[in-house]
Amino acid sequence: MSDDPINSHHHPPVLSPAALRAKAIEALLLEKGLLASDAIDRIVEIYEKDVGPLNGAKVVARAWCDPTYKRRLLKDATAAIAELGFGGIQGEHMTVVENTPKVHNVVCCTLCSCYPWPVLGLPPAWYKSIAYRARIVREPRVVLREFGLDLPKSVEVRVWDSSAEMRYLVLPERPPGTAEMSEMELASLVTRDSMIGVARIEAPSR
Amino acid sequence: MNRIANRIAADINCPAAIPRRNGEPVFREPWESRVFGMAVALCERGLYDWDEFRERLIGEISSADAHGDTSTYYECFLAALEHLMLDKGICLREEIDRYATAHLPDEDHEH
Repeated sequence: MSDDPINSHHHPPVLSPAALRAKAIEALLLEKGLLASDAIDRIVEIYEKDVGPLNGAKVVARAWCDPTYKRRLLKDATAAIAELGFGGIQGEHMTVVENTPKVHNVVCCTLCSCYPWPVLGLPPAWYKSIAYRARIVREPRVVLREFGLDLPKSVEVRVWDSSAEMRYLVLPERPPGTAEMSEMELASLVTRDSMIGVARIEAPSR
Repeated sequence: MNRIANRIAADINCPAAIPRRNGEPVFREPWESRVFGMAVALCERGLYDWDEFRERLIGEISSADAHGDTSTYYECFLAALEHLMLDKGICLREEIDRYATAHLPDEDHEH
């Protein structure tokens, strides 16, 4: 990533102060032997490519297909998610909250950006924005409408503020017209936004 | 790249709007991914617990929020990492400064 073919034979590119600081810290850690460059590469690669919302989608699809799994998931989410092989940093102390026709759940982290990495990957920019963190608690229906989700008044909205002690994943409602679908097909319907709770899952058009 | 640049521009122009876009890249710039990777790698090596990092990150974000300053999320992440490294005695501020100076383009040395 640092081998930029365009700049390597010219003057070094002008770095932003943050980029410069990051580079200095990395060089220092390498020199001290505290980190190897490929250890950083490996972690970045994992979080850019392997760990993402598809993991959470598999959890949701399993819960839709297997009522006993769903019970375990709602009772002890961390353990039930680990059954599918997902866990690690930011994956501890998980709680799954279930959407129903009467209750819609949405997740935020007002203090920083707690987010269940092992099942959703790294949070999108909007999740970390001060606008989302502040407004989803104050006016959840308005914010959800901006996301294109207009909930009727009869639906109760519950906002869950994640923290180090508790991280939330929304179990969205299984859309109608999916009775014949396999668990894998179902997983492909589940979006990241639906597991944060800013979207519902649409019935497949087929 | 244009998409990323556009999104950054949109964020700057409209700070109260919640930028939302599915499938967006996780990191906007390469240094952000390096900082993220370093913070996780040092935690994996047992140099600190993730919650210790998280506390510093909350501190950086809330102070940025309170001062209305425009630090990005990963600038806060970087500051949290640096402060935690100093607190844990992993390195000294002067050492980081020395490396930062060494990476400056030539013309900046004269200031």
